Amino acid sequence: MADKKYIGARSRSKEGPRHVTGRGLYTDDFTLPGILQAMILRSPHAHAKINSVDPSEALKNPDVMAVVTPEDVKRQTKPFKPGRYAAGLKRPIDEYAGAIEKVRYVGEPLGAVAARSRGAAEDALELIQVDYEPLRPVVDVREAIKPSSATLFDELGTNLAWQGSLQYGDIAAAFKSADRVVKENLKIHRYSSTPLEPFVVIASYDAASKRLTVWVTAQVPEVIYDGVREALGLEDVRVIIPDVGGGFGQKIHLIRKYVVLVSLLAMKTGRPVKWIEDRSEHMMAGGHACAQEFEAEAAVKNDGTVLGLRFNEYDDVGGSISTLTIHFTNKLNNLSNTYRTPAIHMIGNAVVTNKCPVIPNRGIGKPGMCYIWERMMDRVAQELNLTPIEVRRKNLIQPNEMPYRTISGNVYDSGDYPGLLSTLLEKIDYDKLREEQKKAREQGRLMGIGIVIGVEPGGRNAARDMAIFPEMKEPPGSGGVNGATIKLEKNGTLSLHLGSPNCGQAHETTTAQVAAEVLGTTPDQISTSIPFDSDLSPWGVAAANSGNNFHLYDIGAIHGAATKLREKVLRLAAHVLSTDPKELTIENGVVQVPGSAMKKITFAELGRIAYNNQHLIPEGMEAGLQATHYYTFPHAKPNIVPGADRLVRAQFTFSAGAHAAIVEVDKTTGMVEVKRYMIVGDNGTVINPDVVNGQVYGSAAHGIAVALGEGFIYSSEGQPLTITYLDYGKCSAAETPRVEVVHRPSPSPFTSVGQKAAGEGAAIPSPAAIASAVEDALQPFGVKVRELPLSPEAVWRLANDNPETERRSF
Amino acid sequence: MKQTIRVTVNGRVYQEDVEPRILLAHFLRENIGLTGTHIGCVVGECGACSVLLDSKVVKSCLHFAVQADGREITTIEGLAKDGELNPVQEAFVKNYAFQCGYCTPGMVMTSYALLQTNPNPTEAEIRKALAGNLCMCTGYVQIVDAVKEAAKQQSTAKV
Amino acid sequence: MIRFDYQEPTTLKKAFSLLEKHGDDARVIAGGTSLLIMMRQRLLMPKVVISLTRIPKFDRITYKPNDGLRIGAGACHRDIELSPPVKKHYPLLHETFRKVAQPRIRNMGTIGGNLAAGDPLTDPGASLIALDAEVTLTSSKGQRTVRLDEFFVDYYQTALEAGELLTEIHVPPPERPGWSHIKFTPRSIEDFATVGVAITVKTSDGTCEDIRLGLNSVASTIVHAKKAEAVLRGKPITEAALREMAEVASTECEPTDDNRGSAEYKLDLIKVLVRRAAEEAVQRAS
Repeated sequence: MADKKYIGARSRSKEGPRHVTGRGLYTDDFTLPGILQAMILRSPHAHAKINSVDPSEALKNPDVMAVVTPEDVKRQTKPFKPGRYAAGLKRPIDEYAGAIEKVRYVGEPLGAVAARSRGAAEDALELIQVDYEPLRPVVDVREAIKPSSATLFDELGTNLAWQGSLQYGDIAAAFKSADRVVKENLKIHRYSSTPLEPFVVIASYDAASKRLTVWVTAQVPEVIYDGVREALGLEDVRVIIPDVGGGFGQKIHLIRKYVVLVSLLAMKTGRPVKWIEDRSEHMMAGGHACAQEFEAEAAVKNDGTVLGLRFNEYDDVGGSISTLTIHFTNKLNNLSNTYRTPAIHMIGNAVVTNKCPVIPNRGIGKPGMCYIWERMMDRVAQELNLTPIEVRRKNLIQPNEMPYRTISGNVYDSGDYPGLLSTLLEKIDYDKLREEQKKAREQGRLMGIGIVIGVEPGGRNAARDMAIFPEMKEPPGSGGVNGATIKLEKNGTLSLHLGSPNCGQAHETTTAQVAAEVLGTTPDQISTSIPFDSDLSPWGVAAANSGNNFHLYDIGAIHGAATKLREKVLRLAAHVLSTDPKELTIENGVVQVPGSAMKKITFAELGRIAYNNQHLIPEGMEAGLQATHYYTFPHAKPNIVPGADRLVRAQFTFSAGAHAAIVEVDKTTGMVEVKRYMIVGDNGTVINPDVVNGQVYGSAAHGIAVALGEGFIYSSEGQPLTITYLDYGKCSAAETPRVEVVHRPSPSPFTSVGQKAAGEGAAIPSPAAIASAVEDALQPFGVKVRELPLSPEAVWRLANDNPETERRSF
Repeated sequence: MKQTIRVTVNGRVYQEDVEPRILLAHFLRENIGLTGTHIGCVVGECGACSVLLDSKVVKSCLHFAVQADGREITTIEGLAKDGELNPVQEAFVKNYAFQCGYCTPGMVMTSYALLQTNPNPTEAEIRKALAGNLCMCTGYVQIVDAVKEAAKQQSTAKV
Repeated sequence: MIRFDYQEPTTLKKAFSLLEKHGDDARVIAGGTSLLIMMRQRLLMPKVVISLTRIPKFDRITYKPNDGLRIGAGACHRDIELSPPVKKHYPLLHETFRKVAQPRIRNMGTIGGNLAAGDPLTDPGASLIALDAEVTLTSSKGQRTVRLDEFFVDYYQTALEAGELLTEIHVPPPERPGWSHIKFTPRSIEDFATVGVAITVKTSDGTCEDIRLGLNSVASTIVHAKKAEAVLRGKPITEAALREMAEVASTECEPTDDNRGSAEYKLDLIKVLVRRAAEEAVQRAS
């Protein structure tokens, strides 16, 4: 496409008008006749045996229509199959929708109530008698793997639920020929993007047809679909996903438990049932990003070249085995970051503890990987007496090496990493900042500058997780497939039907721009159907609003469908106008031979023919003007499915960003102020700049807030202490710095319009940027930043050298 | 035991029988049927439920419906007149000051109320006024820009 | 939410008779913000909730130069923040109330509700103590006045007796021109303070003539740091004296470990913030 009209241009938001007038339709906005309200029975203990559950008192109230107990769950449902998030689990361990014999985290669901009103459901919950036998809670990862600790899963016999490793390149040779080995121990804590809309499920069961319909706040319809089929044995399932108030990976996995429990209530009562969780329920049990500890070593030459990287990782996965290895395997997506290091050895340990299970929160494991790289690069610079910029430059993959095959099998499609770094340093006037810093230090002010760089992978490959278990019996699919349908209506407008749900990433606006560009019409003539409906939406395994899938699969599908439709439009028009399709152009919904006043026809006229006027449709041409396209990435091979060599295309496209964080630290209180934060980003061809900027601003703001103190804290008894937004430490507009974004795209040669990802983006390098800046600020005191979060107390301790008297659990 | 209350919502009077324990936020959503007011935390921290109560911005999840008896409420649905977005709403759309849209009604109500009392706020004043409306998606940049633009629009409209 | 009966008496007399009738089964509500949250969490489960919002003049704010400020217990934080006599004569209060939670809460929460809850984490108490405030407690049997620093008894416990309502806060005419208020929060400004400090001070020729120091979030009640005051009162204001005062202030506090910080960190913060507040107050005094 030579001169683009809509791609890359500002375009009025299609989602905006309904959101600013309160006309968004979220799951809780729906109701059905006779609907009941549900509440979930949850464990108050971090670790306990369930001896008995007696609902009889609760059932005495005639407004209470049904109670589901662990016995019901065991008798009436089957456990979920271990999926790709637990690829490493070689022996299956049954995990049901609710706890059966044991509870393993505070807030774990074990039953549910449906009643005619919310109040009655609340009252009923209080009356259910549960006899628990509390067990010793296991909260600390290092303690958990000691034989003296209580075991969460008797079938495993240990809390070290999985251990494994992956190696690429000759790591032994790398360490042998190194001039020096740089070591560091690093730690990232538990946090989450805490979407503002909590989980909501509506279930309605038609017993005569054996058909279940579910409205749910979910990001991945396949998880719901498969979860319901596995647990309830139902084949006729319809999943509807309306507007979702934020996902960030929170609404992918654990939500399936609640769909099953609420569906059981619907089946028991014969009525539709709605469940909405409380904020505190979500904070306790909705799912957390994994706390990870790393023992990292880099083999380096004195000139700063990194010959090899090795790290031993401990993942605190919480009280479930269902997401055991996802934070480890996801590191394959950005394993090399932006560097050409020829050997990497990664060792993983997944430890179960009595805390909320971990889920694939924004970035999943990739922020950890980037943290390892960028902290190590700073450390290498310090130990070799080089600057952090020199060390990075020494190791960056060069633009003339693109497309670049990494040692683990990824193919980086495009990118100019040295260019991103140079542009960043120029835009922030790096040399001037260093001078400012010198003056500030003389005045006793602790100013710090952190510079980091990170790739942002996009477009998932469902088979990636098999790299740790290629012999997996039930492969999770491979590559990615997703579809889109585009229809030219009788009145000449167009309607799009996308294959994926969304949680606010402007899918409607963006796809309309692409479709308008391809078809030669205007975005305001195009509407997109919401909600996602599994009966109607053309969806496949990549219908996942996560993992940066939209830019590749949905855009690819719309582009493909629009291209097909354009061809049909031209064919029909050519026939009606008695000309050759090659002679025709389309502009603003009018098809014509350029310069001819007679040979032109509008979309509306074509529509009326295609649906109404068989006489004018050419022989052999299908009537109607609709096209569906299922997209797969055409450059996905080789290594879609990992073999014995464990090489795998973990993801398919690679955006990147160079970040600069400028901070000032108050030593006496530990407060860190972010004075400036800039990102020079490459997201490939930007279809809608406002949308992409929004994704970068939002993901950066969250990464910064994570680094500076938001996070989950547990007591030594496994009680969650941070179950409100303020206790957890969420930042408002008053505390969030204004992030600056500069675009420096290297379009992908492999995608439909050169677009790359922009959803997880800045969440990946930003924690490392803040860590780097704070360490730089405290450099006069010889401080090393290893652990996040850098809360005021943590910074105060680092700056004033106070070791903690009592270790707290994260 | 239910009580009868009379509440004016977006200019229209409603008479309803409610239990004292019903929160104002639930009353607006379920009894009156206006689902634009959202519930994010139900304990008054996130601001998604912000409405105007007698022209003051309040968190409707921290109010019982019975406390609103005899009073006037404006919800997000009451801002646009006959489908015409008001300047704050229009500025939000133009500036992409939303993503998932869940915090948006509360953000718009608070921004609207801010500009009624402070028609020319600085960026710091805007950020402080919005400190009680949490957003998980946007990082707040475009929201602040939208409020600035709305302020400009409103002042040029007056002249 | 639990079930309860809702009553809206139109006079104080009717409110008292309701309180007497229902005793421990009743709770009083004005703005309702903190009571409502506790009821949702089932920490408090009153059978009867008595609203004071229909009682006339319950939210009145008046000022007389020789008497000072009288605030009706039903006045909400926002009204106090915006009140012209408060802005003019009690800048410490204006600053404090500006920082309470955020506008949405300030529009609803009342000063009476705040003080009567006895919550050591909230902001107004320390500043009012630094201004020698006293509260009027009224019952059907009469009235009594209690100094605010004697009103807070323990964690969520005040000197209010059964059948009594806090009806008025009296702040005497300001005698100390220097003031400062610091509310330290690690993240959101709408959060509770990790440490809050309020100081008023009168100086002459570099000597401290009089001083009041209040702190919140540092103990089971709001603290009136009398020993710290004694360190500086009547003495020349030097860096060493300020440091000593800050040290003594920390000994009058007993912060606990919580998710906002460890006790150790908070004790250090107290020393830092008391000093900063004192320096700022002394500057304002001159």
